[in-house]
Amino acid sequence: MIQLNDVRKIYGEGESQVKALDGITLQIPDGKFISIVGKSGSGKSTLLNMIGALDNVSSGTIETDGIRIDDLPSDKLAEYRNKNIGYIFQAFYLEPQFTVMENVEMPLIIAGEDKALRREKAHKLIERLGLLDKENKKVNTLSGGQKQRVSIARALVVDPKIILADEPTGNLDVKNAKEVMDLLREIVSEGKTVILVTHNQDDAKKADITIEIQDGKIACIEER
Amino acid sequence: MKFFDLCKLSFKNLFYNFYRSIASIVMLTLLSVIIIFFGGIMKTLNGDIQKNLIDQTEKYGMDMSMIMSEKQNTQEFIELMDEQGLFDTYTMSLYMGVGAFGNVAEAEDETKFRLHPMCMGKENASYTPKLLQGHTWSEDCKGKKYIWIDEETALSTDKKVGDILKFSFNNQNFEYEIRGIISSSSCLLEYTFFDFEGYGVDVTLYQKNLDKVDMDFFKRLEDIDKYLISKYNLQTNAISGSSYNYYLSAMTIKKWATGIGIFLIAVCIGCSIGSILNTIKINISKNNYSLGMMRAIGAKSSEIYWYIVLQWLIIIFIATLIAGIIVAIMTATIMYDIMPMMLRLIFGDIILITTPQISYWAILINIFVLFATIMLSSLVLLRKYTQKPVINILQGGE
Repeated sequence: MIQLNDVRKIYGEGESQVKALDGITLQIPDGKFISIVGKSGSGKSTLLNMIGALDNVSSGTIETDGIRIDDLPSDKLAEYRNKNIGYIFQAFYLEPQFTVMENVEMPLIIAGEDKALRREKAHKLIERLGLLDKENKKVNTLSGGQKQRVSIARALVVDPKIILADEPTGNLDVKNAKEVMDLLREIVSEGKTVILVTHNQDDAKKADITIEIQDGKIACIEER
Repeated sequence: MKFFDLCKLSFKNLFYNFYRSIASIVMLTLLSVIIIFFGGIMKTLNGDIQKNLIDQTEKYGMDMSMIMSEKQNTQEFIELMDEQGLFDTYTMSLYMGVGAFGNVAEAEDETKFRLHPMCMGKENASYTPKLLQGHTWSEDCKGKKYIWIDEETALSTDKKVGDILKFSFNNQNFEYEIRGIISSSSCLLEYTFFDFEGYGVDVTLYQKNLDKVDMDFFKRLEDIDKYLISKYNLQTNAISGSSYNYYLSAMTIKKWATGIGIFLIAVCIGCSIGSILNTIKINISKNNYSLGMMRAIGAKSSEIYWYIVLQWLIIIFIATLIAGIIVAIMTATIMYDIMPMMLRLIFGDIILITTPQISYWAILINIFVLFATIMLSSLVLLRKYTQKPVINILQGGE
């Protein structure tokens, strides 16, 4: 369970101050597919970054399974991210010169996993995502859809409880976008929590819960 | 993260960013070549000056002369040098009236003769000429018109004890009574006349013990000389002698070469530090999302730090290795010709046999300075960087 209490995020100071999040209080149950929607600049990505411990809150608290992540020291937070969260971004953020295998196993290297074990885990995921023939190819030789699948494999490789996806289909064609959405749905069925930020209403409707953000506040929560 | 994996990851990143790594290696290699090269020149000069001095001592013996005036305390000078073990033998020559080294072409009634006052040697009797006739030199002789000549001169000029020796020098006429005749076989010095009224002592030191021959030897000698000059408030005569003259010119070379070398090394170290700082800054800003992603998936600040530093350590290692090889090749080939040419060009005609060498200290200093620069600059640059929210690093924002 992820619990946000009166979370605020303010950028800038004085008159140039911008309230990206303005008192968000929210409970996200485990094992659900959550979509966050809203207009550009509404604060949906900021909210995702807060949940994923990628950004600091200005005020308020965020708890995951009873652990307050908003006041964890930097190195503990890094460890928390490594073990509990998988990230999927619109821009992929892969190491272009590294191979598919090297990119996928990166979180396991950071976790200090043995080589044989991490190769086995990464290999299984690469196979599952249909990239076996690309395993030893450099990422910069892959298509957008393939890169996003590498990114999903990297997010899943440490078997995290939470997957955060920020516009994962934004750079993909219809076919690849559908494949990614199906994969996310499949991940939820395995008991993981997936939080998706999207502009796409059709994608949002595939989620169990849709949260709409407007001017940094929750406008409505729709459960299916 | 395991340290071995971190090393592998750094090495991979270095290899994958091949052109950027090559550019850094080339830059640091060039600067390292200069640092190691001039380190080698300084080592060579230092070592060779010492070696040449020992060679010269083996060949000719170490000798230094101090011509002292009447007022100076010769005994004190000898004692001071004896205390410091600056010599193992010495000769002391007394000047009476007029007299100095060399052959006497201007003598009125003699074309060539030897004027030989008493020579006293410490632990070396051969330096004391054997008296054949007349009187030994004594303190009573000071200032008197006495002179000692050698047997050969006495025979060739038909002079004997008690005769008057007349000669002119610098338009002055001199008369001396021959007080004694000494053996020619033990006469070691030739004298010429010079315009010197009164009385003086010339002390020549001989040091054959090679272990004691070093630059410090001369330094201590100079200190004694300064001490005596200041004590007696005299404008006395400088230390001279072939070894001492060699030492002076060698010291001039050493000072200049060290000065130029240190200046160039300092400039190169400055350039290295500047380039490393700048390149690290560029690398970090160009690798925003790469480092940000590592942070996002769980890398700690210290792991990011070592990830950057290790890449640079490899670059430094390769650059220093290549620079060392280049300098070694230069040292073994062209430096044998270039170095004497450089010395002649800067210092003119000078006797210094050089054997170019590589300075291992320069290599170590080069590595140390570059390592320290990288460690510190990475620490400063990354400290602020890794404390930013991960999303800011990832998106390259503030």
